[in-house]
Amino acid sequence: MKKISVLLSIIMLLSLVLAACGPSETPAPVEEPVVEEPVVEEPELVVEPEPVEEPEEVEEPEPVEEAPPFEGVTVDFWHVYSDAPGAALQALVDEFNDVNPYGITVNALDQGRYGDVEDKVNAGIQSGDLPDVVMAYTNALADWYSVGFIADLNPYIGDPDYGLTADQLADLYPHLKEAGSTPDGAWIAYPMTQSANVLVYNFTWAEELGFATPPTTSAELKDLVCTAAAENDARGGDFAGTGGIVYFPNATNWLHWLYAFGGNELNEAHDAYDFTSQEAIDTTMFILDLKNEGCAWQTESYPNPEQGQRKALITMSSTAGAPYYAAAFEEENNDDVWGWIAAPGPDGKLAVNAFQQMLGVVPSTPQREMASWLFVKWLTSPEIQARWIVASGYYGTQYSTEALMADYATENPVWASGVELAAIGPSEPQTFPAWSSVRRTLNDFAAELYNATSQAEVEETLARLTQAANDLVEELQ
Amino acid sequence: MDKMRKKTYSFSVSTRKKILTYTILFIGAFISLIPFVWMISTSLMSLGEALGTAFFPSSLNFQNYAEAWRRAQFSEYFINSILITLITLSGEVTFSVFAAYAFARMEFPGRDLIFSIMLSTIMIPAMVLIIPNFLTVTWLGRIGPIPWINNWPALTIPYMGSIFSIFLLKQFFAQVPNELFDAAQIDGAGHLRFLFQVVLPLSKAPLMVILVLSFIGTWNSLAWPMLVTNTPDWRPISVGLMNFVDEAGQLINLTMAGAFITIIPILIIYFFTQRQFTDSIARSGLKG
Repeated sequence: MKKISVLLSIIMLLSLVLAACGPSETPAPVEEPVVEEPVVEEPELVVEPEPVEEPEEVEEPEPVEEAPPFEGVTVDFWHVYSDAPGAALQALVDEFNDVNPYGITVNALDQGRYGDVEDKVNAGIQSGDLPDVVMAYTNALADWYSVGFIADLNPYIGDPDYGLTADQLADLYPHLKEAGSTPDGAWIAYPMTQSANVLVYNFTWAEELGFATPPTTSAELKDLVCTAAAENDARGGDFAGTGGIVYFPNATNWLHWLYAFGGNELNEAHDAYDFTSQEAIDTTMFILDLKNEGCAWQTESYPNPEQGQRKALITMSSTAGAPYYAAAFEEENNDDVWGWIAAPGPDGKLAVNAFQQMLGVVPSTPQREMASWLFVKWLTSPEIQARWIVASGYYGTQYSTEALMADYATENPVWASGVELAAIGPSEPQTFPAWSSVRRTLNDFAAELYNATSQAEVEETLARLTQAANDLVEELQ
Repeated sequence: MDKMRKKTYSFSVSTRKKILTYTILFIGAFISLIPFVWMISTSLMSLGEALGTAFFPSSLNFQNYAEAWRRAQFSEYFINSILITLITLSGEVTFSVFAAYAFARMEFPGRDLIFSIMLSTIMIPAMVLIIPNFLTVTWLGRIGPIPWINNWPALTIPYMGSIFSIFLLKQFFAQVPNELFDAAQIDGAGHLRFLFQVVLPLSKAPLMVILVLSFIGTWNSLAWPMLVTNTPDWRPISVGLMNFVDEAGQLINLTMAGAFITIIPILIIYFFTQRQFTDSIARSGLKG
């Protein structure tokens, strides 16, 4: 009995002692042991003295008597990378802090996943604790822009001293400015890298089936996947009913095909959602045709194992899923050559559904905002982007980065198969009002469309989807 | 032969009830254990195998544990979790004991009303409180002598006031016979001495329940620690598990290895306190 009393007294005393000795634990954000992790690529990233040229270029036109206007400015940068990519990003930030001629210091802070960043920014909007640069998906940046917590980058991108030149702007993939801009023209999301929803394609198996090159039209694709399905049906057993394309009906995959069929989510005036276009109907009917012919099927979970087992010739995935596919092929001791291709439309149009890892600048003072932009500009410059791609496995955002990736592409053929796709896009209209909500609704409707039994039902479902989407916009206004 | 046949089929009613009971319990235990077995099994698979449908690994990849430990930075986060849990438990036990004693054994105006209001806060979903709590700790950090955000106060103090713990202890404290208090008073004891020398020694079981439940809650918390920390300085072990999740999927084998590592302390605590824990649950009439 006495023991309990003594134990409780100790616990209470402990709490008081701990409460008294708190101040020594103040955060010291930058020099985290993350940098010391034994990551393979990291030391190379830190040690390379290559970017010395850039600061010299920027420094030259600065008048001597003008004090650097950003001296002492500290920029907080919230991102989503931990583990090896986190260490590589930290190394780049350290390098920026060392070499930037402006005296800007960046604190890079890993804030968890994209959802965590969104929670933290939403809380920070209430409390005032916000970073200067935040990594997020475009729809989140658009939401924050609509309430005044993300800055329009146009003045900084167009700044004659610190902005982008006409050549640099032209170097950016065509779909990216639109992807990061609001309907009223504000450029709120600047792309750091890209990933994309693509078709995962088994080149070896397709060749064995008599298709030497990837399909260039939707008709060719149907022919191919139906041939694969027929082969697996003939094998029987576990393979019966497999072999074609694994299609999971959700917003990402349906939109991917819609883009290939030349459609999009908006009306001609681009002022409202419209899913009733002929392209949307044709897209859905094409998918239903594949399903009804037994050439499209579904797996219970991610289809990586099925593709590794040759139960699927084509699946749909993010390019970020490469390690999972590699593991699945390795698990089956399958040496087939596989990689990414774009979805082909009926007239040969190729499309992927591209996603960008976007950077947004939080409004503060013009000086801080410009300092933030200068960091964003440096981080997304071709040389730095190329090094970041090596560490992260993402795709670039500009043509000149591609030229710097030749060695990496040779060593990583799967990654290389996606380089051209990253340039074609397009991307979802994430800056259009209510897109997050519309996307969730579209997920439900995609499943409904996949179960439709006639074109009339498809048209009726698409009309309801359009109505629901525009109702969501109205709710916001 | 007749005798033997008779013996074979002559289960008494109570025996049959026992067989039925144990069968149901066995099925229940089996179902409860499946996720646990699956976790351990998956933690020993290669990634390719874990992505498939296999239930047992074809070969045992114990190196997953070492890799999970390294990649999730567990050596750092483990210490943080221990500190956070220790501080939270200390505070929660302290405040709960005093509050419960006051509600159970002291008379003061509005006692029942205050207790009812406090009890009603259990109905508020935790997610609803996240932003208000965040604003509160931010404000306290600004006016106080030490920073709260990215520091132990924001991670621990909001969890020190647990109405569930107060409620549980109050129920036990109220059962202590008044005669004991009268006798203690005659011996010159006040409330504090009575609490420490009589009430608490009699309440070992509910205290253990509080310790175990709070330990599990604090050890596993994720959303709040992510919100109030900006650097790994004070992030708990559950944050490390997120290192295995990316936008395209999850390194499921490493996640399960990491998950097993994180629950080891919970298993140890439960192993040492299970008798008091089950005893207390039985006496309090709580149901899971």
